[in-house]
Amino acid sequence: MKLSILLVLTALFVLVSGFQNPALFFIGYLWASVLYPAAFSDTFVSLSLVFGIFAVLGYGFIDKKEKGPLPTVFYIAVAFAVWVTLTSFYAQRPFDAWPKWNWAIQSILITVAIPLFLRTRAQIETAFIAVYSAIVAHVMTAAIKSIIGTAGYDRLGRLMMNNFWLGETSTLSLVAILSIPMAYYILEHSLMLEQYRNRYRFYFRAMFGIYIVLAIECMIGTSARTGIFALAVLLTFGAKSFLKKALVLLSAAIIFYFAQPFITGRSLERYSTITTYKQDSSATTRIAVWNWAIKYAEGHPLGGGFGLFNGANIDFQTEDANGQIITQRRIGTAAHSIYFEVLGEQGYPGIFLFLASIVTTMFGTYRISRLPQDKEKPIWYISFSRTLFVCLIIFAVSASFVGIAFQPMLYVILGFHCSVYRSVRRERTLQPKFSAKLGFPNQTLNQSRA
Amino acid sequence: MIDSLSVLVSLVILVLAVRTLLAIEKKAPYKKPRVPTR
Repeated sequence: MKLSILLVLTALFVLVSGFQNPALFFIGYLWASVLYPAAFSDTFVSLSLVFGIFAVLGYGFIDKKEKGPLPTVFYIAVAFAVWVTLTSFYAQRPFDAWPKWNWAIQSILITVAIPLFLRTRAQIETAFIAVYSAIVAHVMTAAIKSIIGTAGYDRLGRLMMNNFWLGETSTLSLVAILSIPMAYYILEHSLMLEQYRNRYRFYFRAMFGIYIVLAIECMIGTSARTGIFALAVLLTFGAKSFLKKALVLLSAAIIFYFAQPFITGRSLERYSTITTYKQDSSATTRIAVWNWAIKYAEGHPLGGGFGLFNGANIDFQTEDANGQIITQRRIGTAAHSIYFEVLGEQGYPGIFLFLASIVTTMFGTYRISRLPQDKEKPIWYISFSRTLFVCLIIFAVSASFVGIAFQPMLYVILGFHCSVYRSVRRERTLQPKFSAKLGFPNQTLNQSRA
Repeated sequence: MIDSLSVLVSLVILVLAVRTLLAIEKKAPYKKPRVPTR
């Protein structure tokens, strides 16, 4: 009850502040969408619904001086939203399709809405911090509970004790690792902390260190193998130069060697199945589902609509402890991969749009992150795009093993790229997309635009 | 207890970010600009 009151009071504060700066209505919507308070408290009304209504009404009052061309991914997201709606009309399981469409379309439209509602650096970064703050609540709860001993696959104490969004352990472990580069950007580069950065740099770094420990503890607590992949990607892509990458990987290996006795046995057992996946029914089911999705798409190139996998009839084989092959059957399962989820449900056009949105954003964030940096006065969008690039790579690789194609996280990253791209294009002209040179010529820089 | 603590930390971060945004972008689109009386 106290938690609910606290949440409602904070939401009211953001809502009232929205009358001073209407972008805050949308920032509140993003925060509520990621935090998902309905799953662990009673907020009387749906906070995301309230913020959503106010954001739409407040759009007319938003200062639209800050304009700029939108990136390709914006239009791809619009096309994808239209396509998933069309496939829902001929879905194989309409009673499953429309409820999923209801929340999936809200996620996809986040990509479209972010560049329209968030137009300045301060707004983009506040939204980024709001998303991060929502993730922190989930990560901290799971991490502390893991430290005090309730870790384990499907038994870890979490903020959301259901199998949806951040209540699902694989998704939670992925998002926990993904939030590490977010925390780094906020503490090292954000405008919000600029005035305190020089004075409290040591404390900020200490806070970042503590957060890394919490995020990794959360990942270990979930015992989900997805987290290991996410961490491996972060270690590989997080550092820029080859030498730094090698140092980071070496330090991680040393830390793991000494920390092994402190890691819960359940998690280590679960991680060890990555190499002995044939004996693990969860891993072999995944491969069987992926094969099923490929075959389904061959027969139904336009997809089977949302909820298709609830009716999937899958035979899979596992090895028992004696090495004997056993065939088992499962009716209805998760897609266990964003790519196969979209391929089965949305067909070839859907997977094309989905991959195009990820690939174009990956290129876009990479190009901006490779712009020449000004050492005297660092340009914010270069560091921000670098963070988005790392987050997107972590998501694209790790979510190959979780069916979260329509959860908000991906669309939040794509949306932030749209907003940042607009800011960049307002200030400079980008070179042709496939130029061998990554430098950016001409144009006067107006770096400190806030 | 742990849940409440984590949510509290999260809410503090959010409130501070919102307050900073308001301070950076001091504007109220629905208010008429003040006209000096003297």
